[in-house]
Amino acid sequence: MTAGEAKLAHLFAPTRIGSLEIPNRIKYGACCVSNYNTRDGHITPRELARTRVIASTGCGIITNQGAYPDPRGEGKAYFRQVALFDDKFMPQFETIAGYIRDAGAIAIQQILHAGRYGGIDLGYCVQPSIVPQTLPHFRPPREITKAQIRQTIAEHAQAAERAVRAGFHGTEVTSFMGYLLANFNSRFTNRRSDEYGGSLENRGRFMRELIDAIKQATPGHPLVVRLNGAELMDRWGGNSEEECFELMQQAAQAGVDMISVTVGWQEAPESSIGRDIPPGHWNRLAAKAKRLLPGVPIAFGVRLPDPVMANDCLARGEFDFWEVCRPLLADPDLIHKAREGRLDEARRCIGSLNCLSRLFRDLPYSCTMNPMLGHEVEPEYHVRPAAVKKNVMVIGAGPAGMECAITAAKRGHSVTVFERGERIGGSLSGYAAHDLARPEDLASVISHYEVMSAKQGVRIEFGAEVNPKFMRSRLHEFDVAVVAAGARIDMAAWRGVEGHERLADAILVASGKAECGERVVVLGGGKIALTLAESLKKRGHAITIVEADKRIAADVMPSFKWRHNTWIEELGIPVHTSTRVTRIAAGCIDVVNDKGVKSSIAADTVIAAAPRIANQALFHELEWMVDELHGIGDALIARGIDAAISEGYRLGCRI
Amino acid sequence: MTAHMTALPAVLADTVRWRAALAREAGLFAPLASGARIGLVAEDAVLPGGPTDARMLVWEKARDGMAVSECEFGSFEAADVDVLIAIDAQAQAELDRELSGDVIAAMRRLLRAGHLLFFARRTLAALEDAGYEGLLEQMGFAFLGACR
Repeated sequence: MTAGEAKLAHLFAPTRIGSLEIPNRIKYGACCVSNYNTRDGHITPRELARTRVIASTGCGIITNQGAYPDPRGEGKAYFRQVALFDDKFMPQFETIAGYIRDAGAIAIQQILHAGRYGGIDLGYCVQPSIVPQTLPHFRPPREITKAQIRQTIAEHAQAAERAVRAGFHGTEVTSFMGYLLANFNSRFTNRRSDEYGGSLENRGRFMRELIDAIKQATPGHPLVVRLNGAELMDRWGGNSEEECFELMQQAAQAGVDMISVTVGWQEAPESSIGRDIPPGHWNRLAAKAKRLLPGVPIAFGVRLPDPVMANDCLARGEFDFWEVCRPLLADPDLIHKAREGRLDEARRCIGSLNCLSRLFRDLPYSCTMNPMLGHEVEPEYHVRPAAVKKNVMVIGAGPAGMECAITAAKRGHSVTVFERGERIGGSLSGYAAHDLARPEDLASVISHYEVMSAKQGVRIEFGAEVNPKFMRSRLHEFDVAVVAAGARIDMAAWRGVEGHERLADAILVASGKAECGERVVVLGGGKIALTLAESLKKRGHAITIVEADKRIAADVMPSFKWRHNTWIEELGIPVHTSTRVTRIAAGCIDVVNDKGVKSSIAADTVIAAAPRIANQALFHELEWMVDELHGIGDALIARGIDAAISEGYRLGCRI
Repeated sequence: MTAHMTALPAVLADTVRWRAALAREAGLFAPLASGARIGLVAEDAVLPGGPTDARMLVWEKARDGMAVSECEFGSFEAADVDVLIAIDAQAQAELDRELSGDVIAAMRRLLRAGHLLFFARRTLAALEDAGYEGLLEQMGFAFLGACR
């Protein structure tokens, strides 16, 4: 037994479902469709390479991402979702089942009919009843007929039979986040007056018939069903929690072999999986399901990213399997690190929801923390020993610089990082200090780099003067220089404003190097401005935001735009958009809006939080002085952590 | 069923104040195509088992601005509007207070707090073609999404 297995004994305890032996209590959840496949549902080499990584995560059960079961595409939710409505798709499913079996895991194929969120290639979606979309990027609804219900159930059963024939041990159907099964179960979308609507018994009929049809088509093979423990739609007519649990009882009585408890619909008016939800928040729903259905294996993992917490839940009998997906997108080796007692090396999912943001813009999913995700098929993304070992200077210890330094060191290069400050993190430290959602997530990125740089033997010189003269003085020691000096607030951009010398730099305020008065005006409406404004308001300052553009949050990741807007409104921070500052005086600023209306705003401190400008000066200084000169992250163009980590990694693989 | 059971809540029935409120936001509605229609109903009209004869406040883009009228809601299928906004009791009370002020900002706030629910009866592309983009963004609709 390894140290990790001893510490996380419940997580790594083998178990059984029916005749199947399962090596541990971890289920890889099919919570994300990758969008890596062809538009007509065929699995690509990119997907196969990705799936090979999933198969080797060390999970006892691995659920392959959801395939739509109907040839019409009514169940298709994503442009590049895989299909399983015909034998022509079988060969790649056979390959995937083989990968999972070879890894010693139980292979489950999810069948995903998206219902209300389906019909992506069509001009409509199908639902139990006509309830218009509350998220308009989904398709207008058509009511599914009874004949179509029968056909849809048959198609699910046929897809399940194909999956088993391809080598999967079992199958899964899902209501996750408001798909067809959820649409039938919920009062919100099921307003039928026939035997499939009305009472809870009738609304659950589709599910029971679905379970029965799949069980008959795949006798002896386990069937998992994912069901809401809470829809979060109840205030608009959806199911109450009690109704959700009654539906679980129906599923159990219908003979399902495992219930995976999920939370929320995509259109629910509150968060369920974002970084603003604390880990463990929804565990009570799993525990409730387990109490209600002690004889049915319960899987759970919504906003439960931590294997230690999962182990504790298993120890308390709150559920039977930790269902995990996004933490394994961030670090496919998380389970192995847990087993080997190396959790300090783990890259934590920071809940940025970059993955889902991209999916809902019809892009393949990617991960802020794992730049290799989706590129496993490309040799250029793999960390391979360097043919020529080099001495590498990295200027800046932010995410771009550290990612590059650690990756290059893994390849055998000798790497030294020069950092002006006293610790790793760069501008991320400022964000982490002021983040309203969950600062620990961002801090985990920094601690990961601290651990990994030490383990990889990366030298870091703190307090290093990152100026041309100093860099030139050390440059002769190196074959490669990487400028990862980040970005800064372009204070020069404010020179045309009377009183600009009174401005405080947002980066200095964020890092605690500049103090604020009681009344603060923040110039800019981007992520730095918003994060700082929210934090200062929480600390008791009176804040006003002035933004020249028509709207705020322009540079914020889509999945966090609404959060910032909500926080700004909840905190009561006045926002002046389409407004520019004309004068900064002692105690106030003068502004004018796009209609020419002038006003004054009281201010003890005026913070410049925009525009940002890349720290590119060293490129020019070092251009003719080193064999290889590279730039990455915000030092190229001011963006954010995603680009920083991605570019740092890719350069680290290439040097 | 008696008439008062299906009547619009008082705040939605006050077409005079709504007309004035929308006139103050004329710039926001200017991009809408002629005939663009937005319906507002009390929440029970859209809840399962709600009244079948509910009434609806309608904002309609006319030649000289936004016309405001009242008509029968009927059902999701029958309602002849591009966008339907359901309003719960708390939102009705708040809108009643805000109708003489910045009603769009109030609706935005209420939407975020879950007291309003939008239903799109046309596709996103059709709504954008009909000039809704700015209005929906201003009301916070654009920030709703599946990425939570």
